[in-house]
Amino acid sequence: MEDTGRAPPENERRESRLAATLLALLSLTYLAFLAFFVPRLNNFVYSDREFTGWVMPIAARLNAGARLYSDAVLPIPPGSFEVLALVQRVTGKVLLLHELWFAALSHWLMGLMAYAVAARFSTRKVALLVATVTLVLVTQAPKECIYDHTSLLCAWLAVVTGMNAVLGEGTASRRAWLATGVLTGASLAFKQSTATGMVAGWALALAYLWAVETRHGRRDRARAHGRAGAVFALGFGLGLLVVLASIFGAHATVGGFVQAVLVDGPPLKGGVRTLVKNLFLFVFHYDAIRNTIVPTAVVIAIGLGVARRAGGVHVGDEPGRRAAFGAFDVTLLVAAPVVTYGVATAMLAGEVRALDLSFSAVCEGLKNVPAYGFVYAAVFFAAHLRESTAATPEARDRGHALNAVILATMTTSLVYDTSFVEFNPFYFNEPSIPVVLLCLFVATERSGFSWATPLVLSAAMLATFGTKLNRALSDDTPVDGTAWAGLRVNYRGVEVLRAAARARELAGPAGTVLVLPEDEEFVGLIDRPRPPLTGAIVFVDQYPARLLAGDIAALDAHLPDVIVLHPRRERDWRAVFHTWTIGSAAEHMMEHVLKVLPRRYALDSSYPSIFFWDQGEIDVFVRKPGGAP
Amino acid sequence: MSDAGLARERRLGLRLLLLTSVAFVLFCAAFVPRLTNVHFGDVEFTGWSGPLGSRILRGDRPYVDFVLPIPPGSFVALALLEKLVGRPLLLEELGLNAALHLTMAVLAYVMARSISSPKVAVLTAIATLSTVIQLNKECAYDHTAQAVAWAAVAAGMRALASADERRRARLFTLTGALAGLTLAFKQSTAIGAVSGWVLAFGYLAVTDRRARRPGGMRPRLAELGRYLHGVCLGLAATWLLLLVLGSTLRAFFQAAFVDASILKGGAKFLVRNLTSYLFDYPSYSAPLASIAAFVFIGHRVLERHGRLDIADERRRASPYRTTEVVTVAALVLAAFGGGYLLLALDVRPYPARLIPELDRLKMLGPMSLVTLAALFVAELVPFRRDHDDHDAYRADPDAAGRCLNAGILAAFASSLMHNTSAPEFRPFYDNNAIIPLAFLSLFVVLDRASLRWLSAVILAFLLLGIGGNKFFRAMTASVPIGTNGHWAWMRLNDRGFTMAIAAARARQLAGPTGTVLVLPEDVQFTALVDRPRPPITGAIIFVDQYAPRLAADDMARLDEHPPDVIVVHPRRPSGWQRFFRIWSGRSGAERVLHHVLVDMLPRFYERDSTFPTTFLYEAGKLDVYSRRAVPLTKEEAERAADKSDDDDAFDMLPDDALDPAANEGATP
Repeated sequence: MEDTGRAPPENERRESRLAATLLALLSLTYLAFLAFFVPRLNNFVYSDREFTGWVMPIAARLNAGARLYSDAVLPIPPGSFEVLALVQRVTGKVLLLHELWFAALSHWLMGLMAYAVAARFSTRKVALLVATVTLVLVTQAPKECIYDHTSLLCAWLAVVTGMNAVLGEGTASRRAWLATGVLTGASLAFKQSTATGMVAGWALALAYLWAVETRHGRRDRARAHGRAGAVFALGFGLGLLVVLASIFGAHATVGGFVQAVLVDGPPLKGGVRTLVKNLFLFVFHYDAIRNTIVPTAVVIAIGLGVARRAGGVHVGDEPGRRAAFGAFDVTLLVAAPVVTYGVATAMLAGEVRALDLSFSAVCEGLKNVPAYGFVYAAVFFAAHLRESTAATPEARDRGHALNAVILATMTTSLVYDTSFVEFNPFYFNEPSIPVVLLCLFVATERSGFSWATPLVLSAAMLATFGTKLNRALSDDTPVDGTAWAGLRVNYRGVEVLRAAARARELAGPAGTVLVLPEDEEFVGLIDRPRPPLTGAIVFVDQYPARLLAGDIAALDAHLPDVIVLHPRRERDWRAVFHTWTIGSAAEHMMEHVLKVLPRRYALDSSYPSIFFWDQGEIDVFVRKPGGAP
Repeated sequence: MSDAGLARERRLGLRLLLLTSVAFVLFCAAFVPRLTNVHFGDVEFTGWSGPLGSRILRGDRPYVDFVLPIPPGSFVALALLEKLVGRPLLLEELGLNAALHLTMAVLAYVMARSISSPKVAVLTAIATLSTVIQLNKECAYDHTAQAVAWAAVAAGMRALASADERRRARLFTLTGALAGLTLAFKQSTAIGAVSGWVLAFGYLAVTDRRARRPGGMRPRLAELGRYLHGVCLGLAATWLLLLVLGSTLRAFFQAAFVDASILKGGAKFLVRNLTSYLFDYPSYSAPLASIAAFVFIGHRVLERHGRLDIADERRRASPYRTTEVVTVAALVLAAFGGGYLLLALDVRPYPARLIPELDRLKMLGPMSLVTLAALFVAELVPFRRDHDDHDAYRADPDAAGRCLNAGILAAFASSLMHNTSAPEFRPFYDNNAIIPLAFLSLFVVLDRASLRWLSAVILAFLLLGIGGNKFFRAMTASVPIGTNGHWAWMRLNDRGFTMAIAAARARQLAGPTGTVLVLPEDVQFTALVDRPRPPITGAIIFVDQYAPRLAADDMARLDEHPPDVIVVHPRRPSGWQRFFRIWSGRSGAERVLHHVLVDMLPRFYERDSTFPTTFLYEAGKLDVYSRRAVPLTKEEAERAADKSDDDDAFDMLPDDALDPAANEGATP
């Protein structure tokens, strides 16, 4: 594509229509793929990877009249539970499929938002490339719990509004800042780490813009950014009203929410010290890109190509490049989704059972390719700091705008990632994804190497055929009834279904069942009440220490009829627990139950399972008759 | 820079290099005698060339009387040293390795001087030295092969930097001779060393064509001819060496190429490994902060020079500042002098929990691969040059950037091929020729970015990294063993001391003329026992050293001449099997081990003694067995085995894995 300036208005309309058509085609192929993919997305009790469907059972409890943070205490804000409770009320059913579809449609929306972010800064072609690869990346996220997705939708939408805010002027900019603030505040209704990251990120972005203008003596503009900060703060306040509404909607109190989410939450992840240490390690220790020799050389070559072609790496003039689609561009943008999702859909619909494992492993590794965008983000960021390299004042401002958005999204993503102890870029649906991809494709497009964009796009699209699709292909058994109705499961899922059915049968219609360590999806599948514990989820980072004594007493007084233990080996669940804390309240609860178990329960049945890639066993225990010790 | 200024720079550079050499030699006086690493008890293994040199001195013919897939050069070097000293000592091999490390530092200086200033060259040499001495595996076949391969890279780069046609021609011949001679030391390194320069000439020919150099490709073809002439000389020297040793080219080819290829998994594995090294294996650390740091450095270079390539590097003046000289001298004295004092004064080792922290500094070296890749690519994707600049560029077809790229191709090829001994890519773990060029690119870039202080900081961290695991190991080796035996004048840690006692017990049991077999075989321990092995043809019964074609015959020989003593370490088969399976699940060595452990030990031997050991970071046991006067019956042996309370079961293999017929394909 040659840089010959903006297209004339009549062409502009044609280009706009063409881009919309291509985006619609991308959406259609993706949604068709989802129709076959989503029913295969269960992730049974850690037996595949991560965990899934933790919001559904809590939402059902809300609908049953439970009061969050008093009857069911957990450190997750109420928003996602209320959203799913609403869905359950409307449909009249409690299904895992609801949560899976919500997550999948969130991914689709993220693709559209990625387009909106990229199109605001760069060309439509780049925006379509960003949207296409965004869909691949976000679909690969291994955990379908919509407290993540709802909070991240806020964060992604804030990137759209934030990009508009930093690129716009006057009233439009102020409105966008207000919306960004509202979304930042509202995100607290879904996940506190996302909200914390958004507050820090957008505050940093505003501080950066203010500092840049002040440093260069443009005091009026600096003051304008100061005012934008005030508007953002106002929006944040309005967003908190949304949180307040959601708290009341969950029949909770503000005090209960603050205690459970803001006071209990951080210590469960190790406290402020751990948070700071993790952030340090994320920046200085964990690899952000796949550090292999040849890809490194290719990344450098593309960067040098950009610098050589334009005489620098300032990309503030990006929208000024000719926006017309060439025949090759259209072919590429049509072929990428049609071939990728076409093949994947055909395999799912055609009941193909597995991909070659080596091929699948290579595809899984290709997920790392888009992360090379981090390099270009750093390159462009550094270039934009030197205003003398900008061709025009407009280009200069756009450069600073991109820097501000990079700062905001990176900060949000890093803080969001502190939910876990390792930094693995793009493992979750981080809001940095569209911005990093934007930088990646701006670089490949500006490099002048005709092979660069097709190479990166092909590699990124192949990631679709990684582990997650292979898992879905293995699902050969349709499920009827229970919370898993409408799903298809593989042999591991069949064992989980058998275990759940047995637990249900043993408990009878009114008996209680306790699953330990607690997996909410499994609890929902068993569909029997838990013992009257206040802690909503007995799991290491979800169960506050303050509840332990009361819950042990409640448990001793109301022993469940059935206990399901998975995994059987202590060292397996302890290893997972110790990722966050040694000696957590959940661990003490487990130890207490393990002490009670031999005296009061008998092993009824066992089912083979996988627990985090290792052979495990699901044991179903039933209370001994008479209840004698 | 004026001639006088340049001469001063050279003098300063050479003096700093000399100071480094003297400090290093002093350091080695205390460090080298503490480098025992016996039977995988510390890390890796050590001293495998010396004992084979002793066999050559005894008149055994390599690849005929004793078969192994390692070329004979290092054995000959150690045989000569043994002859000179008058007795076989581990210290000879360790001393040779230390000398080769220093040689590598000097070669790094020579390579760097082909491109850049004496100041950058000294930094490169010191950084290189601090890295190469950290390799835990002290076997001279690796060190000799690498040193010769490094010399080939250095000679080639000097040739490219030379304007004198005659000197240039001689240096290209020398480059070829050294690359060819590498085959006398290690075949994988040699294949890389020879093919690397062919690749480099190809690259230079293409760039000549792109720059429309007068004469087209003819001058390069002539240089390639001289190089290939040298290669022939080097290969001829290897052949001559074989003849002198009483071996044959055919036997050598069978052992070093046919057997070796089978032992490492064959051509399919080679291609898979090479692909994985280049496209998949993490080579350096890349957190967000380091990406930002590299971008910052790149921007500074672009700001100051308007481009990233280093075509003008030889003309660029970057003289020493007094503070730089003082800093470098102080760092070298502090590192090597301080290290010597800590060891010589027997200072107690620092807390072991600090080892990982110090070893973390090792990740700094591989990060220089980023600057290496940047300079390589910058030369391939040059910025638009103005007219005068372009003319000057055409006039100097071997400008610094192209010279560096040719060196990188040659060094990278030899490094990749050398690395194929292991399934994972370890560019800075082995002493690869890419190391000095990576450091050179780092210090050139930092100098061009006017970040001299950062060069000093990085050098300081690299030197501090010397204090990691290997130095800690040396600090724990405080007990002098005395002046007798293979380990004379060494100092041992508790693990080494246990091994010395175990070896003494095996020696005592065997008597003055008895035979001892160590399984899996650690050549250093065999030398320490100092008793003959049974008359088997395989020189080392170890997974990647023992050709499957020898197993059937050697097992028959063992049945015919059972050793008087058998030493087994580690006791648990899973311990060595885990290690063996890195290369092969059906190796000849495993068949021999299975035969001895299952068919011979229970009936014909009794356990005499057991010693607590460490095997690859895990607690293990070394068992010494002596031959029974009267063998047990099969039933008695089975009963005795049932009584054993140890977990010494074999990891189950497919039946055909241990079946001799299954390996028929490997028979020549």
